[in-house]
Amino acid sequence: MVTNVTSFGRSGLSDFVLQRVSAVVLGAFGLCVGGWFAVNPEGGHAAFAAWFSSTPMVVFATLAVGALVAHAWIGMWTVGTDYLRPHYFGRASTVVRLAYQGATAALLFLYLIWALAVIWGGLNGSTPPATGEMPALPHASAVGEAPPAEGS
Amino acid sequence: MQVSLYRYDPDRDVKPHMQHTSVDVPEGSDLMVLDVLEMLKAEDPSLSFRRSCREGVCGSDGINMNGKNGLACITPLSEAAPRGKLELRPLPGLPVIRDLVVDMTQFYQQYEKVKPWLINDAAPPAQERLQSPEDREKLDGLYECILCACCTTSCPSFWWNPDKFVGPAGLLQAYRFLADSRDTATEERLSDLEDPFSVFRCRGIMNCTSVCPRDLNPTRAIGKIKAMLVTHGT
Ligand code: SF4
Ligand code: SF4
Ligand code: FES
Repeated sequence: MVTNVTSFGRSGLSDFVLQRVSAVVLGAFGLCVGGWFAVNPEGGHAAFAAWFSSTPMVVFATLAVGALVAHAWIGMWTVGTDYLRPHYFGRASTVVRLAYQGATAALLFLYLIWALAVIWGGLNGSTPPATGEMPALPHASAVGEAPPAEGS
Repeated sequence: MQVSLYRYDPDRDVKPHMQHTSVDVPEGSDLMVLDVLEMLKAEDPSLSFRRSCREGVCGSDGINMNGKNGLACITPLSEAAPRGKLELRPLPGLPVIRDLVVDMTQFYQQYEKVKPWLINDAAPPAQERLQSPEDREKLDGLYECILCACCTTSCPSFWWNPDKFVGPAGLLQAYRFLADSRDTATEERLSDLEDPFSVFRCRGIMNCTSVCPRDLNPTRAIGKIKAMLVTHGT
């Protein structure tokens, strides 16, 4: 049986409001970053990094990452409770759905830690590390709800 | 006219199948789909479907005609089968009892959930609870529903969660009592609808509104319920 236990706020109303508020935050953040490129067509990495690591942008980016995680969880949860149902999976549907939700939660948690490391890593004036050496990946082993796929 | 019919008799058939047959539609006439069903039943009395009023009032002959739900008695062939080929199936998403007859239990259970009756604990006045003409007008477009289930059984959200999502017909009635100036249970009604499924599974697909034979608009009513929930809940 599909239940509400794993929903974000356990209330459709709070999920509904959060879904919309987070969409507005993400939209504003997208416009803001897009706008920077529009007014600085010649921007370059150094200029962008300097702007992006200013305190207001760090706060805004943190907010946007939080909004992304909440938005994605509510959306993915809804999709899962629509389609991963006994109708298709029989008695295994609860297990299938929990695995899907666990994987989603683990991935979102990973993104959260990674994004925060990128955003806050730039604060002390250094440029963010190149993608290849992201320092956040080892945090994956700290994901409590992750299925034991990563050998943790 | 060529007709494809969904046939299923649980006593004889292992699985449902489509029966291909044809009827002679008199030249120059525009019969209703129900007339065609009656003609087919005259030939094969085992064909089962529900009907009663034959004028769009009772809501018993909701079926799926060429992919679209509607009342067979008020849907002319020219509208249901403009290309001359008619395909009739039971309403989707509900268990089939036999041929075009579906088991409406889940539909009624969802209807019952919204407490579709007036709640007012104040002692009733000697004659009746009065309402201003303006307040009465707020119920237009809501009270006319005949519970034919055309809307709810065309709603994908109801197909996926028929045990939890109230569905457009039930929600239209939920709003009919939320909007009633004489009803005093607004808060309770709203808190019963706050969970992630009852109302919020509506994704605004509007299948419901496009099939309603009474031209009602459940999607709009659902939007108003959501707005009421947001203003009451914050
Ligand atoms: S608008 Fe809502 S209730 Fe109507 S068909 Fe779409 S999801 Fe279902
Ligand atoms: S809202 Fe329209 S389609 Fe839905 S049950 Fe009522 S009359 Fe039928
Ligand atoms: S027979 Fe009554 S609505 Fe069609």
